[in-house]
Amino acid sequence: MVNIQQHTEAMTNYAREQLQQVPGIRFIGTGHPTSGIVSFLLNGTHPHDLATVLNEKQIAVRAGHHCTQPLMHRLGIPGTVRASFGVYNTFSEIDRLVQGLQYAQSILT
Amino acid sequence: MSDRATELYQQILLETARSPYHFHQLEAVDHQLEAYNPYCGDQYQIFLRFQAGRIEAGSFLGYGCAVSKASTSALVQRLEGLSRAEALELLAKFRKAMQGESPDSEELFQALSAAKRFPGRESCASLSWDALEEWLTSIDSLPE
Repeated sequence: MVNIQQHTEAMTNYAREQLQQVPGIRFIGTGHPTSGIVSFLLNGTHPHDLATVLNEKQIAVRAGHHCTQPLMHRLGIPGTVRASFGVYNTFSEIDRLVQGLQYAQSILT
Repeated sequence: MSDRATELYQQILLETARSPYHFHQLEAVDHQLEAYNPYCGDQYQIFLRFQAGRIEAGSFLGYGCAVSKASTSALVQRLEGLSRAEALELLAKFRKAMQGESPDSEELFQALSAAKRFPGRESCASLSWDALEEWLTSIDSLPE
């Protein structure tokens, strides 16, 4: 269990560092990285459009309210894109996510 | 560069979503349509004004993805000047294009029709058209 927790935290921290380099990214929730979830928005794109482009690049993210409509309403956002990590994910997959976001930006914005 | 995503997110769709037609509240509204998808949160109010049995003017406000916004913009722009019967014809033309049955349909409709290749995205393209259909089939004619 300790190994799993360490891996999840390392993945989440790495994702936050790398995604920070994408211009226009906005994290929603930056608490302790134990959950293995990174939620974000990208300026000039709607979460569903962004997720569709990422999915086409074989990058599995979810988009939408995530069953938290009242929270989204409170935050004044239409939803988020959410990447989540498990024991099977690798650091190179996060690099692919960053590349995918850059590709999505080139199409959508 | 061409893949399924770029077939959907064509320039005409993105430009329409960025600069939608009559994206404001219309003055002297005769009828308002509500297009809302509770699953994704996309929501538009479509404002219509009638004259002599026709839709004299239309506009809309709201929020949603590029696909639903471009589609709603197309709907509002094309509705202006139409009678109820002509609006139903427009609706049929849109439905046919969405099914890929109109290879010669206009460029924006062709881009929107690519939405059906993505799980859950076809409803983005049809959201406001569904609201239009529900209204048109509930009335016999437009006010004179």
